Amino acid sequence: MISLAHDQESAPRMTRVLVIEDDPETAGEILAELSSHGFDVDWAATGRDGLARAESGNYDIMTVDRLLPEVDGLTIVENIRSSGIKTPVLVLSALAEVDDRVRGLRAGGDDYLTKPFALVELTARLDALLRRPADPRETVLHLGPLTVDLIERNAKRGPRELDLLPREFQLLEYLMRHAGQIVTRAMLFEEVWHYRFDPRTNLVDVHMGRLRRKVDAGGEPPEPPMIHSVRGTGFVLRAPS
Amino acid sequence: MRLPEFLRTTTFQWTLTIAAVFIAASLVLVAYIYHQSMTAGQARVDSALIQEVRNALADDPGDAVTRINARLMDDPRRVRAAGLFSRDHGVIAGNIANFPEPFTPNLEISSIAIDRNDGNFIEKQEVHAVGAELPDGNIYIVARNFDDFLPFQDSLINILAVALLPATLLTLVCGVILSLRTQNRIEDINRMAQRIMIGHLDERLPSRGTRDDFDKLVDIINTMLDQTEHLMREVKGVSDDIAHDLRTPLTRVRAALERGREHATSLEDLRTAVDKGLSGIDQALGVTTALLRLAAIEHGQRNAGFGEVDLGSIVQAVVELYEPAAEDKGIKLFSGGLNHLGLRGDRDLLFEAISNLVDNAIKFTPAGGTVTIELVKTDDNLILRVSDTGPGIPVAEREAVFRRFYRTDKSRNLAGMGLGLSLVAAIARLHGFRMHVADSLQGCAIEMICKPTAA
Repeated sequence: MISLAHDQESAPRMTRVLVIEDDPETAGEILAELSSHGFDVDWAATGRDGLARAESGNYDIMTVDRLLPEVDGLTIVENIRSSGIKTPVLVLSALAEVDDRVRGLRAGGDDYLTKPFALVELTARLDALLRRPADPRETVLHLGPLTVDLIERNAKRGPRELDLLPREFQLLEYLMRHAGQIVTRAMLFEEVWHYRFDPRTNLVDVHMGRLRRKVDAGGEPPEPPMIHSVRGTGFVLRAPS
Repeated sequence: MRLPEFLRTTTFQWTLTIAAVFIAASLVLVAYIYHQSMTAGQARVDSALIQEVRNALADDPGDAVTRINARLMDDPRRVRAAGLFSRDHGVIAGNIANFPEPFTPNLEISSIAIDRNDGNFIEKQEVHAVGAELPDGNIYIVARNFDDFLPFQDSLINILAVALLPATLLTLVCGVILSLRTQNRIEDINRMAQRIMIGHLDERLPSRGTRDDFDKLVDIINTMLDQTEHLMREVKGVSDDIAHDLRTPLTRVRAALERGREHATSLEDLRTAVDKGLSGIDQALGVTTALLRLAAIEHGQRNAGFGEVDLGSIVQAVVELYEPAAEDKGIKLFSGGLNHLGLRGDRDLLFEAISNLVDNAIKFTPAGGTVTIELVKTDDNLILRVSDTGPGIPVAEREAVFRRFYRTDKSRNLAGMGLGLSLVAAIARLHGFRMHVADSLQGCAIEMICKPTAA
C-alpha cells in the first residue's frame, strides 16, 4: 500500500500479483516462479492480511488459498466481490471434489486449481486470466496466416482450407483466443471437452496431434509450424516468425 | 436425591406399573363383591317386609297388635321395627315412637328415619319401611335397619388388607430382583463393550444362550462388531495397498533423483533425472486423487449431480474422445446397439466410468484388434458392454478385478491401473448398475448391467 504512488508513476508497470497462501514454502515457490516470469508479487500469509491487501484494490490478479487461518479463502473472494473489486482471482485448493470447485467459482473465483499443481500450470492459468478481456463478440479470429470464422465454422491457413472435425475446430478456436500463451492439457480438457477428471492416457496430445497435422503439416510447400509443444506442460500457438 | 440404580431400570418401572394395575384390579373386584352382596341382602329383606304387610292385610285386623308384638319379640340385634297407628297417627302398638314423616302407607319400600322406642330410651334409626292401611282404618308399618350388615364391610376390608399388601410387596421384591439381574446383565455387556472400545476388536459381547431379549440384542450387536472388524481389516489391507502403491513410484523418484545428483555430468542429465522424478510424483498423486474420488463416490456425496441423461450420447462422446488414440494404436473402436437410452444419473461420472473401461480396453488390446462399446436392452436388463480382443481376464480373477488395488499380473507394469476398475465399480454401484465380466471367445468383455427403471 505504501508503494501505491510509486507504482502509478513508474512507466512500464509490471503486473502486480497478490498471493494469499498460509504455507511459507509453497508461497516461496510460487513467488519465485512468478517473479521469474516478470510479475511483481506480494505475499499475504493470513486471511485477514490477505483481505486487507486485496481490498486496497491495487493488484492485477490474485491467487487465494481456500483454507486459510483467520479468514477463509472463499470469504475473502466473496468480500472483495461484494465491495465491487473485479480483480481476477485464481482459487487454489487441496479440496478437489467437483462441488468444491463449483463453490469456489460461485463465490466469485475466476478459475480453480487443485493442489498439488505444476508451477507452469499456475503461470499458464494466471496468463489466461490476465488476458481474458479479448473481445468475445469477435466472429473472425486472425493470427498470422490463420483465419478462423466462427459463424461459417471454417478455418484457413492462407488460402488453404483446413478440413477440421468439430472438436478440432473448438481446439483451434481456444488456441486462437489464447494465442502466444501456454495452454496446458488440463486447461484444454476442461475448456474444450468440459470434463474435469484426469484422463489417464495422453488423449489431449492425440487430438492435438491431429489438429497439428492439419494446420502445420498439410501445406505444400512445407510451412513453418504454428502449434508448438511445451515440454511436460502443454502447447502454444504462435504466428510464424 | 439420586435413586439407587436398580430402581431406575425399565424392569423395575414395569414392576411398579404391574403392581399398580394389580392393586386397582383388586379394589374394583372387592368393591363389586361388596356392592352385589349389599344389594342382594337388602332386596331379600325388602321383599320379606312387603310380604309381612300383605300377610297382615289378609289377616283379621284385630290380630295386628299380636303380629307386631310377635315380630318384635325376638330381635337381639335391634334391627326390627313395627308399629300400629290410628287413623290420626296416634300410636297403638309397636316400637316406633311416632308416625314417621313423610311416609305413605302404600305397600312400597321407602328409606326413612324413624324414632325407635326401646321402652327406656328413643333412638333415631335409618330403615327401609313398608306400610298399609288395614280394613279397620289403622295403619300397619314394618321396618328393618341394616346396621347388622356393617361387619361384612369390615371383613371385606380385612380380606383386602391381608391379601393385597403381601401380594404387592411380593411383586415389588420380584421387581427389585429382576431389575438387579437386568442391571448385572447390562454391567456384563458394558464391561465387555469397554474392552472392545479400547481396541480388543476380536472380543464379543457375552450371550447366555437362553435366546431371551438380551441374547437377541447381543447377537445383533455382535454381528455389527463382526462387520466392523471385517471393515477394519479391509481398511488395514487397503492402507497396506496404498502404502505399496505410493512407495513404488516414490522409490523410483528417490532413486532417479539420487542417481541424477551423484552421476549427472551435464545439465541435460540432471533434467532427465528430475523429469523421471516428476513423473513418479505425478503417479503417486494420481493414486491419492483416485482414492479420494473413490471415497467421495462411495459415500454417495455425488448424488447431487443426478439428472436425466442419455447414455447413448455419453457413449458417442467417449468414442469421439478415444477414437484418435485407438487409431494411433492401430485399434478399431466401434460402437453399436441403441443410439439413445435415457436414465437418471450423473453425466460426468458415467462418462468417466465408460472412459475408464474404454481406456483399459485400448491399453490391453494389441495393434490390429478391436474395441467395441455396445448398449443393449434385453427383456430384463440394460447392458453396457465394452469388449476387446486383448488377452482377457482369467475366470478366477473376474470378480477380484473390481476390488481396490487389484491387478492381474499382466497389468502390473502398466501405470495408472489398479484403481481404475474399482472407480468404475463405485460409479456403477452409485447408479444401481452391477459389474460383470462376461464370457468372451477372445479378449475381455466387461458389462455394466442394471434393471431398467419403471420410467
